[in-house]
Amino acid sequence: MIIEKEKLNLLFKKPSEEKEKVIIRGVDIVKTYKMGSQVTHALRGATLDVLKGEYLSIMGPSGSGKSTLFNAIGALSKPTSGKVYIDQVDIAQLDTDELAWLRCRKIGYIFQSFNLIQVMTCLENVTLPMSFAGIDGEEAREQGIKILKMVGLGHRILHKPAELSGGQQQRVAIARSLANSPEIVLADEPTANLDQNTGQEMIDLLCHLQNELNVTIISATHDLKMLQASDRILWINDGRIVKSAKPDEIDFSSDFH
Amino acid sequence: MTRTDNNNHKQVKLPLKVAMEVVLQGIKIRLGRSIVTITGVVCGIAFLMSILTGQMIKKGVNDEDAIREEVLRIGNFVKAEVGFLKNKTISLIVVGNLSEVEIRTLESFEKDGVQQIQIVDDSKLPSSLKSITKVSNQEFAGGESIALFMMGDGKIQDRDWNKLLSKDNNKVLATTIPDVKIPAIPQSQLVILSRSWSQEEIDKKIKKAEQDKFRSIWIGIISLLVTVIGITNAMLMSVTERFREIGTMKCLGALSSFIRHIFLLESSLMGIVGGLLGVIVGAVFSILAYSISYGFGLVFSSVDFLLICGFGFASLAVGILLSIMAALYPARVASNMVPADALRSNL
Repeated sequence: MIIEKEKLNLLFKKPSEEKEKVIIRGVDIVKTYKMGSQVTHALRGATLDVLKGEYLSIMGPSGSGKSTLFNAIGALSKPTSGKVYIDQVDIAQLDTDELAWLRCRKIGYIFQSFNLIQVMTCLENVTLPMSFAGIDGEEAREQGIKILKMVGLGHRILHKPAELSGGQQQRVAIARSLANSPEIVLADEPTANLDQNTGQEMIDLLCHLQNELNVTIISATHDLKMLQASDRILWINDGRIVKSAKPDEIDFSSDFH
Repeated sequence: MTRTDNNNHKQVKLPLKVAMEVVLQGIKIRLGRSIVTITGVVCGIAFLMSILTGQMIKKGVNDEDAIREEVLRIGNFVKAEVGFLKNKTISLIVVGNLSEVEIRTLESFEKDGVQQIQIVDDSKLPSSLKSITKVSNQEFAGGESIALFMMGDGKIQDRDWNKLLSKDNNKVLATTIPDVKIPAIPQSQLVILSRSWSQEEIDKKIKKAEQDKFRSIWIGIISLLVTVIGITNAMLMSVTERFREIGTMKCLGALSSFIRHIFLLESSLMGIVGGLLGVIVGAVFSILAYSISYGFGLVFSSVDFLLICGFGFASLAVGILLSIMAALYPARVASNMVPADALRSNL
């Protein structure tokens, strides 16, 4: 009952009243999928706050609703019920074009399988979101080269993704996510397809972004190193957030699952 | 959200260029299937174009067709009345001017191997008859002659018919001389070769022309429909193949209209290329096909190149329009996709 009361309070409290700046707030997010007559509950009421500038890791077993939560707070799909506020805007109120604008300017996405456009060069991949934001030509080109240099790929700007290693491709993807200087970067298991060393490089790069550009980073991951590098970890299980902790509060050797 | 609206407005113009690049790259990557799809458009539009051009040429060669039919009919008639003409002699009276059918009939006699024509009354013969021996014979049409032909549009003068037709079994074959009623010639000897159309026959002809027209319209519509379905199918496949790409682009902030533009642009590009090729193929094909049976000269004289250009533009417009129509549904499917769903797809 206490939990229910807390939820109610959260529902009626305006996000702007917070002292610490909350950049994403999810309230009682429920998401159900209908597959024919079968209804799958992917999320059963997840409530969370993401603070501006923090590095948050979300973890949980597969099928726990991790990806669904990720999609919901990243404005990639609308929840069945509950509210998602991104930068104090309720995304349920936005139409598809406004959502596109939000994804374009506010959020950068990094995917497990990189999802680069294979037919485009690295530079074109990075400048693509810029053209969606209305920036084109020399301005976009300069900006793209600058970002690619920052992620350490200044010498590969005209290569196609297929000509690069996995780590390099993920660097391009990170560069692309930063194209429109977003406040939030969402990374869905960014190290899952990479080896240990390259994974560590990605983590370093993400931490660097967090510190230098003050980007909020949210990543879904199983990677121990990523969990240790983050500011806060959320556990999700069976569609609910079951635990929130800082990495130093956790004994990774025993307390892991 | 006023800022959003302003920026959305700004966003529309720029990515058209980007969309074009994406489309060109897409066509290049899926070149094989693009070619198959374009071939579909080419076939459909070529078919439409060949129907249009064919009908135009047909109008020109219809008279020719009628003349040929008539010449053939007269030839058969003559054969039935007097037997084969090979190495035979015929007599001929020409009054006034010969019609095209009559000239052609005489030419066909030459082809059939008529050896000699006895020309009565200084009748003028067409200059094209070269291999036939012409004998001027004022009075007598009998002898070797197996038949007396009367041709021309003038009025036949009275004469000593008994003398002219010395043989009893000599047939008189008249083509188009109006009102060949010569009392001196017995009815059994006079054969009218020209044909008069009964109302029933005329009706039948009109009905047949209408049926032909209806049929070609029907076949045309079906072929265009097949083309549309072909393009739709190809575009739907393209959408399925690009699920991940579309999802990624949506995550990067692409508007739904951008995704829609990609598919509409791709399809209209295919429409333009396929339509242009189709117009050329269709026009060339139908001109060639008619040239084989009617000869280049006749076909070219009945081809109105301005009209062909008109047909070409119309067919091209139809091609582009149908291509865009065919892409409307796939483009909607793609643009309405939720990015999360598009990304989840493992295709």
